[in-house]
Amino acid sequence: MNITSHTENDIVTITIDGEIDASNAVVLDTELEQVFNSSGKKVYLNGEKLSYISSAGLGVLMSYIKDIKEKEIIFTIYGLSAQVFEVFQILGLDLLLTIEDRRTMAPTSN
Amino acid sequence: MQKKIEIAAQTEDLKDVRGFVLSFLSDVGLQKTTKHQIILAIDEVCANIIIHSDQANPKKSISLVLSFDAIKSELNVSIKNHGKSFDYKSYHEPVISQLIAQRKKGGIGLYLVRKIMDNIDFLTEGGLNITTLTKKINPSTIVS
Repeated sequence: MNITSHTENDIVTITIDGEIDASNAVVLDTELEQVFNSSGKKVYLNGEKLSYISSAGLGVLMSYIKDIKEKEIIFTIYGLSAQVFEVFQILGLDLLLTIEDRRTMAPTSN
Repeated sequence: MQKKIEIAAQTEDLKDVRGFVLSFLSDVGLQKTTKHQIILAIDEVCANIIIHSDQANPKKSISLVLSFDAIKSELNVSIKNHGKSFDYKSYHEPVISQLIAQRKKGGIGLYLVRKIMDNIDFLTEGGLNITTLTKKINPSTIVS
């Protein structure tokens, strides 16, 4: 699994490539903590190459939902496969996080 | 049809578990989404055993047996280890909104397993923990 962050015009895009499980969810946690603690108000999570996520990774995402609301961060997850999206649905996270099929706005459009 | 794998009690081995389960479920002929969810459920149970029962001690081993009963169209999963036992009777299903309010990162693994599988059972006999999972498979969804 590989996580990269890219900032352009104050918009942060985090890209996850691979599988997130109990062995590496801490890497996602460290990345999200850094991004949400910086001044970025608009954050995208590119899930196009996220082939798998277990509760360890979903728990990390869940733990930032409160911060995202409190800090008024616009956080959008996009590009999830149908299988990965269904796991978000089982937990009801599709109603608590903004999840889109594909990125609706280009990073340079703001 | 039955297959077995043995792993060390370390989270790095979860990847092997997923590969093993994927291969078995593909042989059974399950659909992509069903396979993905069952892989997740088994990963979650194994992760809990590794972390909580075996304290991520790689010298300990966990055995996993998958079997598919074609007549009953039922998948059976049996996971055995020798670590700390789990008191399922005292388990309370978490409320997701509460976990979010408390910024909790854990506590949803078993929740997912219970949503995905039809039955889950924890048994300890003479120091051996046996965790069993079952799931009925709709025969019309099986592609051979």
